[in-house]
Amino acid sequence: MINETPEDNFSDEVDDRLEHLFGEEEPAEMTEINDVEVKDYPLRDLKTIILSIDWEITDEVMNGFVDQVGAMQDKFSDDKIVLVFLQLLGSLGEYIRKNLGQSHPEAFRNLNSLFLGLEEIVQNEGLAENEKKRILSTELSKYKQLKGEITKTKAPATDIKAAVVKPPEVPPDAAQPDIVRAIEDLKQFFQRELDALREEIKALRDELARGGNTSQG
Amino acid sequence: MAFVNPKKKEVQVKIVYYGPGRGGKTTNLEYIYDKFNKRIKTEMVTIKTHGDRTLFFDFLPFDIGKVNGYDVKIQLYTVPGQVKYNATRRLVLRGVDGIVFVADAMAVRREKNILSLKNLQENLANYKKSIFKTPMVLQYNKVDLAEQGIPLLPLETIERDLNSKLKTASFPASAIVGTNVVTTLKKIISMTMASIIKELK
Repeated sequence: MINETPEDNFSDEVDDRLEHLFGEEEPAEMTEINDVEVKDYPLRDLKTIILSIDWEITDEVMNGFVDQVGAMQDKFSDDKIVLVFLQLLGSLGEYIRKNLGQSHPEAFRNLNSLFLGLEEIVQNEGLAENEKKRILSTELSKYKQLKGEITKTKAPATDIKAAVVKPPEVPPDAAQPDIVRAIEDLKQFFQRELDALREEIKALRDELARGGNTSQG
Repeated sequence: MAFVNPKKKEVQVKIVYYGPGRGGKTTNLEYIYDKFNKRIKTEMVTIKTHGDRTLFFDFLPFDIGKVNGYDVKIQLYTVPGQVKYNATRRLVLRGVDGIVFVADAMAVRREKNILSLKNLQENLANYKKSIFKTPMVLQYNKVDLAEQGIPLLPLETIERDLNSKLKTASFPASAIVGTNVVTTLKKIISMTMASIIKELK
């Protein structure tokens, strides 16, 4: 017979409590990474690139993204809805490529959202046309909203439209000197960061006001 | 060392989810919260940047009930993964009792995992804690991407990179689907509680 120690009892009690709280059926466990059956997934390369876009956005990643979207436009040239998705992704990709870290913060969320919409359509072959249009319409609204915000805040360097359509020529005497533009860009960047910080400070204050005590011993 | 209040018969256990940026730390907590919020009856606090990344931390507290007469309160935290927020990471690690290291199983993230683990070791050392003596579970996240043919690190490689010296519990996982999220959580709580009991003796 095995004698249980107080530590064993304690451990059993902890396990019981955890089982009580979280003891529901979990999704199937996956113990092997190596032996997974690869499904037919036409967006593999594009998704790999999207997942590679990190905080440090590089020219290399964004060039790869834009090239990949271009290649896919050829591949899906017969599917109008997919094509519109790819055009939106391409436009947004061009904008991010030109502005990199200065891009509007929502641009990244928008990019991911667009990709998820595209993925849903491409992966569900049986999806009704109306449903596909609904998904596209939702994403298109988000895209337009972002575009509006970028225009409103006079986002740095390049807006979305300018990324896909050649910008109008600016007469040389009307063009601002580079230093003025750079200062303007910096001002806008700091303004956005300050706004974001203010919101976060407010959220922290609210949290403190609610009396949340998270101090540690 | 966990915060123990003998008067109130209460133990507070701090568990931090650590790892490279965009690895799935927040997604782990979100899954737990979404799936179990009715049982754990608590709120999750998330402070994100306007670009949707964790700026400061996520915080999910919950009680697991009485154990040996003590109310056990678990506090789950995440740290911001972005390299430049090291001061915040260090701050969140203060008073940590257990760690879940959420590695990104994508092949392109190999170096970032290694750097993040090294960063964890340095930040723990700042509090005179050894990475080898702190209860820790490794989670290799995003394994669901294998189905789509996205290149992942072979399990042996990721184990060799991260766990050859630590030799601790590790789980392939998918935080977005929920695979092994709860298993990871249960394991780190059990390990941490065992460690606390050992220290209290």
